[in-house]
Amino acid sequence: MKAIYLLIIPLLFLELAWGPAGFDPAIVEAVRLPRALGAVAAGAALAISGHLLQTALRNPLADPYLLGVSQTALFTALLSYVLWRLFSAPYLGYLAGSLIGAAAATAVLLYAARRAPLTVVVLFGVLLAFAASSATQLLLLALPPEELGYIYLSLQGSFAAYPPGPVGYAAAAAVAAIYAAAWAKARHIAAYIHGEEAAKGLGVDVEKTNLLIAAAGAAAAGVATATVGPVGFIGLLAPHMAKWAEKSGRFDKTLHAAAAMGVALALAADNAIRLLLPRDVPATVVLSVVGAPAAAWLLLKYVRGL
Amino acid sequence: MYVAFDVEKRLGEFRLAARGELREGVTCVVGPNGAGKTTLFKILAGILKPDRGRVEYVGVKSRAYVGDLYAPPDSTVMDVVLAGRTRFGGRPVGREDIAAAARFAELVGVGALLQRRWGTLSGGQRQLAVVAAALATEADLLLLDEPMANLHGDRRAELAELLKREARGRIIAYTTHHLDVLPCCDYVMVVEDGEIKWAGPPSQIDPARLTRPKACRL
Repeated sequence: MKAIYLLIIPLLFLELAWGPAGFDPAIVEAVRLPRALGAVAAGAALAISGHLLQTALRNPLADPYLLGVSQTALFTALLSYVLWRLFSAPYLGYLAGSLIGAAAATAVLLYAARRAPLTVVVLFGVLLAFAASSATQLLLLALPPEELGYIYLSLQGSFAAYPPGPVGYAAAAAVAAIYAAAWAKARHIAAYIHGEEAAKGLGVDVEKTNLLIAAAGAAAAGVATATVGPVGFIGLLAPHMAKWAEKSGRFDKTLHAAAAMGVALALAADNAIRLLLPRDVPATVVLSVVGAPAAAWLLLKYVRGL
Repeated sequence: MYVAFDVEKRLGEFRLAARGELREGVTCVVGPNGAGKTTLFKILAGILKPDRGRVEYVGVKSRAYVGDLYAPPDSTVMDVVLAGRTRFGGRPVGREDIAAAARFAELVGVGALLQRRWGTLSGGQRQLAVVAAALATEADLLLLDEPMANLHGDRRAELAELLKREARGRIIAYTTHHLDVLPCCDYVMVVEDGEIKWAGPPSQIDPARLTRPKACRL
């Protein structure tokens, strides 16, 4: 681990201790703590999910947001809400609704990955992202306009949407469990970068490990989407930042670093939104405006170094 | 320690029907393209299931199959050699894995390249790194698919000798089209048309089996 990960500490301190309302313990507890927990849990979850997808699909562009996992999760979460609200179907909850969508999308991607070339899988995921986000827009027509304001923030992806109280703590615990599961089999997952057959030849039980990758990747993206909505960029970039910092491309050697980078990106973006902007905007907006040029610059530097 | 097999496998039009055994030491598997060498190796490694028949492993506790290892251009050589340590558990690689990887890289002659990026290596350097990964598995049964395809003659001979040394007390088998290394093998297995046509020590092989008509003559 490198000193750069200590950057999380001041970012977390800033997230908790400072804001437009100054330092007020009641506000810290009611508003900033859930938000900080959201940035930590969702940031780590997105980074883990992106890292898993990039390794298993052997594609540096894989990310739950780009490949439609987040959007499908959002669609099924909203669908479960609409079915309950309008047709009094049993309420699954936003969390269960997202997990179903994330699992379905991940299963489709991994199924496609076994049959089609990986470039096709990525295109497939991008199509899924378009289809799911458009379907979500159409689904919104089913709801009365006065209810849309409440849903808007979680549709756009914001750490401010993170649920306070027990639900928030449970979601954070779920992320910790997913992290631990990925860590316990990290070496086997790392072998997937050489291809599934090569991994098999090196001694990986691919049937079991495929299940773990699908379940952990989907659950991480699902929990993140259920709690803060679809947030892009972190899943894509955190694993790469980790690989550069650790000077290794292996999943197992860079898992901690990727999670740390995901948390740092999420906290930095949320602090920027809270402290620099007049009102909340989707986290992806800030991450993209600052992050895209930064990523492009890093990429150029990195490609030259190859 | 030995592996005895009697297996059948159909892949489209192709049919493998192979019966034989691998014994302690180095076995070189030769034969034309598409003869079934790789299919046989994958069955012995447990990657492919045979349609019929079985493989009996006697005294073999661990096995590994290493062919061409794809790696992203930003992987380091160390990353790839560490892949050989995959079978030693699920948790992230530790200090002893890194030490073992460095040791085998040194043995194969890529010790100085460990921090180099995969994308900056030549085909031969990559191939040697893959062999280091294969040796780092320390598997009782090590199946190598074409470990010498990209190597220059001198390096090929060195590697053949190294594999022979490393095969003491275990089984190493590799496929090759380079017949100059056959004297470094303990056994030769000739595979043609999905069958094992001949097996035995290299000193007894009938040269007619190995020579092919030359298309161009000087």
